[in-house]
Amino acid sequence: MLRSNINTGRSDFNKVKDVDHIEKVWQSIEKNIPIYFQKMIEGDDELSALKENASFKVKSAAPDIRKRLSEIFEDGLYYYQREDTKYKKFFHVDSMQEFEDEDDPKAFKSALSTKVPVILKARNSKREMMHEWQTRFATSKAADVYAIFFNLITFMNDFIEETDDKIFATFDEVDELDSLVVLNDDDDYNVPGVIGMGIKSSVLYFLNPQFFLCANKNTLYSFYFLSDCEHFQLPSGSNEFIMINDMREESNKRNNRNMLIDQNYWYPYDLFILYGLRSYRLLEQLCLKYKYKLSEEYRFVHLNTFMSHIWHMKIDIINTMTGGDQEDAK
Amino acid sequence: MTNREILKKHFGFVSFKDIQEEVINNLLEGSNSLCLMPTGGGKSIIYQVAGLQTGKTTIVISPLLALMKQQNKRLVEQGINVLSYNSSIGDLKTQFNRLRKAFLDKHLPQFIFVSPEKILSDGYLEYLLKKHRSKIGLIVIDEAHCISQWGHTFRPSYKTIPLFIRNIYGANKMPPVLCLTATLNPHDKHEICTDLNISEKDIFISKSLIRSNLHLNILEQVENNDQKKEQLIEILDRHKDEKVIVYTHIKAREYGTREMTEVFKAKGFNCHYFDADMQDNEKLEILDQFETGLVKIVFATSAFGMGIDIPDIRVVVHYLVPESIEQYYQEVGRAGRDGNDAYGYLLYSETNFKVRRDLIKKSLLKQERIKDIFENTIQPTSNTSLALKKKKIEDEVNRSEKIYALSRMDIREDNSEMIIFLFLLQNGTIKLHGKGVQFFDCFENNGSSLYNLMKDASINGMVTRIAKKLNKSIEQTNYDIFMMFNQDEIKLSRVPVNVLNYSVNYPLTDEVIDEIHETLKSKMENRLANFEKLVSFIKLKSDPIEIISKHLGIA
Repeated sequence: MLRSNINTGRSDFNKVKDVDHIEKVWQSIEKNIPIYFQKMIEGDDELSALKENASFKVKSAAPDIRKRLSEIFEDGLYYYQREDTKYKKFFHVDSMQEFEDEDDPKAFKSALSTKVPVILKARNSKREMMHEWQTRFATSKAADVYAIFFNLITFMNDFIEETDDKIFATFDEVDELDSLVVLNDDDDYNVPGVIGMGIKSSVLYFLNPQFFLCANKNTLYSFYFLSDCEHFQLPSGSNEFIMINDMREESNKRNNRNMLIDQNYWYPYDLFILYGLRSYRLLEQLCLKYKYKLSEEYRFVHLNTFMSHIWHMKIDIINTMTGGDQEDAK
Repeated sequence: MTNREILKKHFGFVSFKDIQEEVINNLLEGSNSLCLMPTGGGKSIIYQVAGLQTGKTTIVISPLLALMKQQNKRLVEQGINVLSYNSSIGDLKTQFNRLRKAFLDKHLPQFIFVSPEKILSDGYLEYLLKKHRSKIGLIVIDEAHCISQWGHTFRPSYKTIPLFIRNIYGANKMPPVLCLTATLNPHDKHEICTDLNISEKDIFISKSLIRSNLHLNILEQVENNDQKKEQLIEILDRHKDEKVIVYTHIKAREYGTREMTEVFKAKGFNCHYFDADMQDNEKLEILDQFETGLVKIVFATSAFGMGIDIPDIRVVVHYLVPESIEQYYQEVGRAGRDGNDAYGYLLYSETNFKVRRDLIKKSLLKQERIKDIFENTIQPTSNTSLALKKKKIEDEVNRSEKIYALSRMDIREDNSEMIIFLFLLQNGTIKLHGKGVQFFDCFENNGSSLYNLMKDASINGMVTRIAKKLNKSIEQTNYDIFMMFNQDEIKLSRVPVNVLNYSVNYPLTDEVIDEIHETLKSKMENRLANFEKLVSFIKLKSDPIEIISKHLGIA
């Protein structure tokens, strides 16, 4: 997407949810998932050997693919479980109740900044693109941050209570995910420029990976590559999963590489989950071919694991796009 | 050992300069002293010799990391035991551990360097200094002009130093306090002497506050920025391969540090920028490169200023007019510390005067902002949106007893929250209950019987909640935590967060808001008046040396 296009009458946002458009995007993703799946199975060693020596022949799939898949997804689960307890402890109902009893938003914001990994990492990030966010977070009102997270957790609890996982797993239309729309830009769920979809979806993902996928650089850049970096006739002529900031008045915020490409922070979460669900189902089928069963409970952890492999396969291109202003995706 | 023997042994000089020995003797007699000496005139030797002579620990409160690093290095090279208690030794967890270890040793550090912000916010430092107060022989406040609320360099934390000293000593005998600076107008001098109980006879002023090797020039007024750039190019060409500081005083815009660096780099000059937006390690790196001559020209804001001791800076250019005669004097004083000829050039246009006036006027906090700081930082309440179902009435009743915590995270770069906090503290709207850590869960148990009791009192480890649940005062709770840590009964497992604990005595009324605003306004007007004074001198083409001498009341 182009930043300059967002607030125009021909905004890409008006088009991305069109049924025809969704199907075109999905056709690409659907076509590419098996290709990247195969590459993931073949592993990094062969890929790097291929990079260094064009005549290197990729071996046929290793005989024990099931074992390879188990290693990949258990590794992904291991990384996830290194973090999720921190979120579960912090956002536990008793913990939130304590913050509420104390009615001290500053204490909440301070605890959030030091104990919740997604915030801590963003605060400590050396990426130039993050410097502006760091300033905005530092100057944001504690009461706003406090309210947004209380609202988010309430939303999540209501969503889980009202949603049958078996039905959720079958959702195939964007309208079926209507209840997620509120997260996109409703004032009760946003501190503009401070608490956006990246942070909110990470919190939801670490609390409930069955329903929520994190809209971070792993997943959004992966969708960018899975959708062939195509624009599918969007008015801006650019792909919807990345954001190109071409606004002249924001030019002084450019990093020292003069690049302003990053994942699309404003991507609609309902549509994002739709592609997530469809992609997961396809991934699940591919795994089943090798008699490897993914766990529904960790649905989006598995998808995120797959997508972080795509990120690593494409890291050279991502580095070029962002002028090397990146950190490890894990 | 005599003072001279210490001077010879540790610093290699055979005799004292200027007023150094008089001040040392005055301190050793136990008198608080104020010492005014020129930049590069040897102020540090005073506290170094006096400190060593006491045979006890000297606390040096210094405003800059780079300055502390420089002094630390010099003392360590002389085999002196020094601790720089700041981020240069690591995060706060490392700092707490190092401080604890230093005070456990049989021989305490002879010098401890701390920033005024540490003095303001670090409860563990205060706990230890209180415990070992009889072992402190001297307290030094370097760059003491930052105490003055009327100056452009005012740092709110400096204002809390007297409170800090009172907290440590109470009614007990306290060691002498030495205030060091190069610039003080009569107004500021009076304020510092009142704050730190310094009598007239204990003020020492150097006989040569202005160095004769400084050649200061005010250039012809120009019409626009392009002409000013041409003047600068001419100066830089004239002083090719010499070390030059160009004060642009702002970071952004076409004549800010960053843009100017880009422009002059493109013209082939060996330059870099230095401003407050840089990380501490980046600043130290540029300082090193400038010191060694790898970088020749630095485009700087006033962040590159106080106490930076690079002897062979030959030129200081003011690309934007400074705010006051004091600032001008301090900044040109960076040049020629080695005693060789050095030059100052002041460039200006009419627009620059306007820019500077606007900057000063913009610094005044509006009433709404004061209210906003109170509501969001001093006494914040949650937004009662969706999930927030508050017991409003109960909260209102309890509010007066509620203990709040103010951390560094709550303070913006312009320090406005701290300015308001200190004002409210002074007028009794809020009451300080001491310093502590915000969350107890940064500690793990190492054999304490109290640990589990505290841990169980709050899921999130909020120390204010622990105090409430255990029915203890916050002061006692903070004391217990530091005592357990000091006795190794608990260990740090994560980085702690330092906080000031306070309660709110009264709600913020419109009258108080107006009072704060009026006070800040009069300070802003005072700054404007100081600026206009400088402008009139510039327009009259007065001799800069004469301007400075007259203003500072020196011969």
